[in-house]
Amino acid sequence: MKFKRKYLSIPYVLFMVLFVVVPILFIVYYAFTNKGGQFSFTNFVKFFSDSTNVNVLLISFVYAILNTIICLLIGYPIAMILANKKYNKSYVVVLLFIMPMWINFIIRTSATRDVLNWIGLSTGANSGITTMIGLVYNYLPFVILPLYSTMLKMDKSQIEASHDLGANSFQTFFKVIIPMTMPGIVSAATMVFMPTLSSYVISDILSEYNVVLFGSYIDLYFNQSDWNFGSFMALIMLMLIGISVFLTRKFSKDETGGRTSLW
Amino acid sequence: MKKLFSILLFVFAVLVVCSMKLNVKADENFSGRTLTIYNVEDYISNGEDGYVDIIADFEELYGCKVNYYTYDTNETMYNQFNLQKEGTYDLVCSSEYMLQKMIKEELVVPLENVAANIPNYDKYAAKVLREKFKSMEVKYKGSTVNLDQFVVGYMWGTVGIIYDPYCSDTIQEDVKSWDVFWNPTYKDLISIKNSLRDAFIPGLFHYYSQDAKFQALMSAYQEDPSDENCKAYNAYLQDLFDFKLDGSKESEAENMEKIAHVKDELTSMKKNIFGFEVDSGKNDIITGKIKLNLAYSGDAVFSIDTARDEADKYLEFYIPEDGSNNWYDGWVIPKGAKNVDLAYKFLDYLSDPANAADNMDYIGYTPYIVGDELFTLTGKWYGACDYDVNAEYLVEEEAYIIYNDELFSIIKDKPADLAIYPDNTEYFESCEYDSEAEYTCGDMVSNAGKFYNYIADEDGNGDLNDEEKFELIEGYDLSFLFEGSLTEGRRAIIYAYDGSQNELETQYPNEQILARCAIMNDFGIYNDDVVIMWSQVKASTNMTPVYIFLSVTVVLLAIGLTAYVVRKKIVTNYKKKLVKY
Repeated sequence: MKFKRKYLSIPYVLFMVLFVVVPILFIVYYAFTNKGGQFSFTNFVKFFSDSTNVNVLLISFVYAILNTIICLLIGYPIAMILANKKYNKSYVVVLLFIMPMWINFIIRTSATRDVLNWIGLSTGANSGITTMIGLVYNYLPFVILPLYSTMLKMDKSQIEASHDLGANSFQTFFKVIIPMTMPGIVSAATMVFMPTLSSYVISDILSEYNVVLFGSYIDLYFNQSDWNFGSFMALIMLMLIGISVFLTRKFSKDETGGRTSLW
Repeated sequence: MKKLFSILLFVFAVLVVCSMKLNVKADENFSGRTLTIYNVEDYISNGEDGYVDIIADFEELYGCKVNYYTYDTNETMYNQFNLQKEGTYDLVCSSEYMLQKMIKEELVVPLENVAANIPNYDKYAAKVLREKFKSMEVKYKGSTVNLDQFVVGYMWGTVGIIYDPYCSDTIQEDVKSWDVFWNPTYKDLISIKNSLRDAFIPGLFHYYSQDAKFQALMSAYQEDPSDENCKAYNAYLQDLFDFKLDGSKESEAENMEKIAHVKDELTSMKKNIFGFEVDSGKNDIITGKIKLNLAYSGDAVFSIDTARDEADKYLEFYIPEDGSNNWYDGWVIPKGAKNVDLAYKFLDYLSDPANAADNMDYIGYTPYIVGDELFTLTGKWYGACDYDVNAEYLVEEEAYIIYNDELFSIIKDKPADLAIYPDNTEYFESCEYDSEAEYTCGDMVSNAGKFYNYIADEDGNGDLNDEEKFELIEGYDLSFLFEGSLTEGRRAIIYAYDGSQNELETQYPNEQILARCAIMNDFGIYNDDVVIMWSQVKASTNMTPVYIFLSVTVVLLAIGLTAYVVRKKIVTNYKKKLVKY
């Protein structure tokens, strides 16, 4: 038997089928069956007949939007500083920001809980704020990295040209730097927005289970062995993720129609 | 070809003979056999820190192997159990309501001939507790059965509040009612288990305790805890817990009303508490992050011990007077289990009072089994009790024992197999009151059949009648539980050390405390509604800022998008014009 190059793809195809396609099929199957295994729309009706379910989704949206905005606001200047050779000669500063990512996030979050309570910010009384802090802390590296890499590749001569043509630093920033780093911003935003929608360990630990995001809501139903309803909500989340991927693709296309997003 | 066939035949024959031989051997002992057990995490003595390793000892005794799997919650267990193919597990441990559900769904098989197969359980399981199992009825294959026919009891306990007795002036009064969870004095100082069934308890009783009939029964029970009053109160609480499952319209309306009331109560409670916890509550109450915590009795014992030993902090446990829950964990044999005989042996091994005592020593929960060993251990922990000639007494345990109405302490290690009595002055020293002797706080003395704790701060002797110095101890009677299981003549009464009374009540609640604890049976078909109720409670929050924020975002996005499109149009038009010229 002759070895063909396409055999090399077998492990990858197997991996995709086992860990991506089959689970999604399972989710779809459970979402549209009832506990007895018959085809039904009960989960659909159940989801939209109780405002609590939609409310949880809306709350998750608020946390996800806020998290994305705050992360971008904090991460953008940091990425600029890091990309500037003057401040970041030995890459130590990059390391400082990336290092927390090497530690498991559950351990980090438990530690954050103790730190927050120690400085007097009670995780029980201010659960909204502490959850936000935890989310920003955990997702900041995901913003800095793509921004940092696009800024390194940024064409410096365009910035100089803009100065030469009389633009002040303010105008240069908004008219030249931001458009040039747009692909980084879009991928940073997707990296934060979508995982925040479904994140639940951070909100559980840092809000003492007071803030319920969509991820923990799904988990609640799975834990009570209601797999069908849990799967239906997981399907909704999958659809939302699909929509946001579609939208980001649409927006990250530049004038020539090519894809410039990192992800 | 023929040769190959004959070889195959030979191999087959050898295999058959071998397996037959193995079978014969297996009947004699259990070597080569494997028992698969599914239990809650940290729910058996496992040999850590010098405690007994129950599983290893069992393996050695019967020459078998034990596959020991664990889970965190009953619901996880149920999910996992149903995913495995039939016959994976030989023994499963779970809580009473989950066991009811499993019996109903015919996932488990009844016990056969308990007296012959599990003689220790038949002999040493507390009679009152087995009566409770007999009172828990459930449908199985069309007929009504009770839990005692299926379940071998393991541990039991109550649900109550563990609290810091110094956190406010009125706390001792406040914890007598579930109202404390709604009390603004303790805002953000309370945590509740993140479990629907546990949170259900305060919600239910906080609402229904306003009822006039409830109040009447409760005050009758509080003023005169006679048998009759206790029974009436307990029956009423039990009725509140139970969902009416007869399927009639009125029952359904009643059940849904109950769920709605609990939902309202829990939603308002959520605003007052610190939060929900899975496992952090035990630690948080010791560090002082929270002051009150809804806890199981066994966990409370652990927290009280740890707080005293490691943080020098005193905690107490109380079961509110307006009703609580009394739970039971037990073992069942799943349908299709392959090693039923070995499973019986394991259950018998666990039910041996000596092993049950080792288990209690490590886990801290109260076993279903009663007997001399367990009573002696409880005595060593919490107070003085009658002497047990078959027990080991060590000097370092600093235990007091009662013999012929006189108190003794141990001055030389007494091994288990040495049959001596406390009149032997080489090993024991009398603690009868002596007006000349010097006492320090924590000492215990006896005088004419009565027992006293020395409670004064400074050392000294003093008068036995001086209430500032000597406190008369009332015996804590556990005979309702230990009846018939102790050596002839040994009384089931413990005289608690100063400061141990509360922990003793936590470990072994007496009849009067148990009267206000009812069993929370499986919710049956209402489980789905309760889950929805719980998810609504968990997700309940002030939605106004969320709506405002989202509408502002949507408006901003719309404006931004229109601006973007308009600008783009203008730019393209301008470019077109440029091209034209």
